Amino acid sequence: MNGLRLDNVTLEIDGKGLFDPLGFTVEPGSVTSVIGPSGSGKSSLLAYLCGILPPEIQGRGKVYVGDRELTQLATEQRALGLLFQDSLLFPHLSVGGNLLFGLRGKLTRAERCRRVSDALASVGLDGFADRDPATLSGGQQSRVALLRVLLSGPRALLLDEPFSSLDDDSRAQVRGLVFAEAQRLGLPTLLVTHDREDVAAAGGEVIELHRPRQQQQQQQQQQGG
Amino acid sequence: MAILFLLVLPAAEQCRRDRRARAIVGAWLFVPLLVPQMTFLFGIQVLLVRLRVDGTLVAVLWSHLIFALPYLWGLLAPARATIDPRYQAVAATLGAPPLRTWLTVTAPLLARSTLLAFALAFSVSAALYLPTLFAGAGRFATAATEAAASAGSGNLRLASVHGLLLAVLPLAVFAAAFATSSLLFRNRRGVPQ
Repeated sequence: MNGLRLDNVTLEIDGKGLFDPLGFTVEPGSVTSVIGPSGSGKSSLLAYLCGILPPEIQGRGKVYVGDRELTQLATEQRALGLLFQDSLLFPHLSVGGNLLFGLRGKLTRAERCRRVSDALASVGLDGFADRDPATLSGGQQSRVALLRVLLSGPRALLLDEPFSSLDDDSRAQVRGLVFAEAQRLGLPTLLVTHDREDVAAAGGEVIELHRPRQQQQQQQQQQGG
Repeated sequence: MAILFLLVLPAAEQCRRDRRARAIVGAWLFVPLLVPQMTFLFGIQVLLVRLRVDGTLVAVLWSHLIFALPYLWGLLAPARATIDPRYQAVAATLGAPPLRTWLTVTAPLLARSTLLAFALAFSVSAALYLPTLFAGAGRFATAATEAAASAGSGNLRLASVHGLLLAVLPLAVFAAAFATSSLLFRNRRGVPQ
């Protein structure tokens, strides 16, 4: 299993850095949390890792999984599993259809269906394959979204505040499930959040995003003057 | 019809992030609807004669296109822009290349608007009288030209049948569009209307 390594990664808008360059490694099966105030570029960092930054933000630095550099690859070849705050299940597909979407590899139809129903059963959603995703509760949707990501065979998990839209009960439940699965599959996991509880539950390294020092000093000078 | 969508959908794709670009394209497309038809069509007519294509089917289709296009744009461009870009992000991270993402995610999410746009464009096209007459050199009979001709004929029954046809055709197409879209997404509450 391979860790997720960031080498000197930073983001810029109009040439201004959003945070000091980051360099760290997320070990397989462990969860590293990235925290910072809103607007600090937490979510954009994940977007950069996946190669889906909006054009107005420029990213620099290299991303590796193991020895393999991802930075030059197209998004669909990076195989990084991304979970957002909303489950973002495709509304025009059934629950099963959503899970089949990312299922890769040469499998027969029967095998694919079996993988899907097994996956659903493993999170207590037996027989949900034909359901309309819009009729599921928030916690159920999150679990399906997690399964969809896992079935696509990711090299690492990237979580963009995926628990913050859930109520307290299902939040703890889904969080536990996500971390347990990441550990079971040995996936390096990067969690972006502003919730201290999430950070505590993740239990791994914590990285705080700061504005670059230069800019901070400039700001202080401006305020002082 | 297919041409229309081949034109509009990629353009909508291009303009999905840019509100201003959408407004500018929209404004240009609406010019033919705002200027007086007689003068505008006369210009078109001159162009068609110069190109020696007046009186051909292509000319009729093209003239209809001019009038249907702004409606299509007005419907499809905002529909495309309101699709959450994170759906594409999710599809890409799940391993779908851009074309597959478009075909399996974006297009289905646009299907409702596309069907509605088709019905709208059809009814616009069905009602066009002058452009059909001008560009087609009077050789192409549509519901609109027949209705106008029979209205002047004094045969009230024939005129009413044609008038009715003019109303029924768009109604039928709209009904078909709605039926198709509710059939396609009969168990999918989350699909945008």
